[in-house]
Amino acid sequence: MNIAIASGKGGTGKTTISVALSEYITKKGYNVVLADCDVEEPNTALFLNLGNKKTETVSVDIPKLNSIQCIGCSACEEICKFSSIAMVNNLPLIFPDLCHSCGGCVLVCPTGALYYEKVPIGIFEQAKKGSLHYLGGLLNLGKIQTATIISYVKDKAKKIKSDFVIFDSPPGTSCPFVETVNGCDHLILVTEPTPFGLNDLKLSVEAARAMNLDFSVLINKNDEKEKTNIIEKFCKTEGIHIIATIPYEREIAFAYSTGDFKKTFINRYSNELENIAVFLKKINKKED
Amino acid sequence: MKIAVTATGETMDATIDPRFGRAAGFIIFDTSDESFIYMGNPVKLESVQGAGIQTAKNIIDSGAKKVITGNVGPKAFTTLNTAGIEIYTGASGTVKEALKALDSGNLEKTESANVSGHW
Repeated sequence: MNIAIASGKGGTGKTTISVALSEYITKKGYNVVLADCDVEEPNTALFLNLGNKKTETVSVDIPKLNSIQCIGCSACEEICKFSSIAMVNNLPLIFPDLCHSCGGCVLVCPTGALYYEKVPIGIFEQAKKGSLHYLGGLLNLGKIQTATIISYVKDKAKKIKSDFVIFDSPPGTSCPFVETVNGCDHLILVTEPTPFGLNDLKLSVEAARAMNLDFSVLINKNDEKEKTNIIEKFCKTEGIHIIATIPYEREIAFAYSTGDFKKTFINRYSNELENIAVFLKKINKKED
Repeated sequence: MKIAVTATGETMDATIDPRFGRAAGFIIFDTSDESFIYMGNPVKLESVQGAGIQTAKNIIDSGAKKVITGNVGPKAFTTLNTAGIEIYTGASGTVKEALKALDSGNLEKTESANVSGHW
C-alpha cells in the first residue's frame, strides 16, 4: 500500500509523521519502505540513525549536436514543446535546462545529427535497518529536474517487496508534490491550525481532488485550548476525514531539534498512530 | 544597420523596457534612413519558460544587428550572441536617448548575461 504524506505549507510536520508512522508500523511487524521525496532538501534520513547508505548517480539524457551531419531542417526545434531547441544560423542551439529528455528531437532528426549524452543531475540513496527500508534522493545544486529524481525514487520503491510504502513529500502543490503523490492509495495532508496552514491546506485539497486521490487531514501542533479550530471547521464543511489530531507540545519540538524525537513521540501518541494504522489497513482491505 | 530597442510604447519617446525576454515590444531603428518600426512582443505572457529564447529569435528575424535593453538573461544572451548580435544593457530613459547614448559610445557592450533567468 502506497501512502503519501504531504502538506501545502512547509514545517507542519510531514517528516515527523512519516518517520514516527514508519517506525510504529515497522515495530508492529510490517515491512515498510520510507521514501524521502523532498529531494531538494531531504532530511528524513537524519532521524533514522542509518549506517552507510548505498548511492547511485541519477542521470538524464540531453541531446548533443554533431553539426557536420546537421542539414538545418528545424525538425528538432518544431517537435520540442519546451523551447529547449532554437534554430540560430541554421543550427540547433540546445538549452539543457529546459530539456525534459522526452526523446522527440533525437527521434525526428533525419540525419542522426542529434544524439543523447548522459548528464548527472543528482543521486539516489538507500539503506536498510531491520524491516525498515529507507530510500531517498538529492538533486545536484543548480539542476532543476526535481521530478525526475522523485520518479527514480518511486520506481525503486515499487521494486521492493513491502507491506507499506510511505512517501515523505516535498511541501507545496507544484510538480514535486504532484510527482510524489500521483498514484498513491492514500494521501495524508499534514497541517497546523494557523491561517497560513489553512490557506495552503485548501490548495492541497484542491490538488488532491483534481487528481482524484483518496485523502485525509492530520492536524498537527493542535491548540487544545480552542474547542474548534479553523482546520476542523474547514474539514467539517468540506466533508474531509480527520485521520488524527496531534497537540502542540514544546517538548516534541525540542526533541525534534536534537534529532531524536521518535521515542518520545511514539510513546506519547501511540493511540493516534494506532488509529492511523487501523484506518490505513481498512482502506487497504477495501481495495483488495 | 538595424538596432532593436526594448520599449514600453510605440514611439521614439517611449521609455526603455528594462526587460528583454518579456519586454512589451521593440522599436527597430534603421540607421541608414533613420526610420523605425514598432514590433510587439507576442511571447511576453504566453511562455512560462524560454521567453528570452523566443524573443531573441524574433529579434534575429527582424534583421537587427544590435540590441539595446536594460537587462538580459542567460538564454537570451546565448541565443543573440550565437547569431552575432551585439547586446548593450543598462540603458534607461527614452528610446531616442538610448540610441543617442549608443551613438556617442556611452553604452557598453555586454559580454555575458547580467541577470539570471526569470528575472
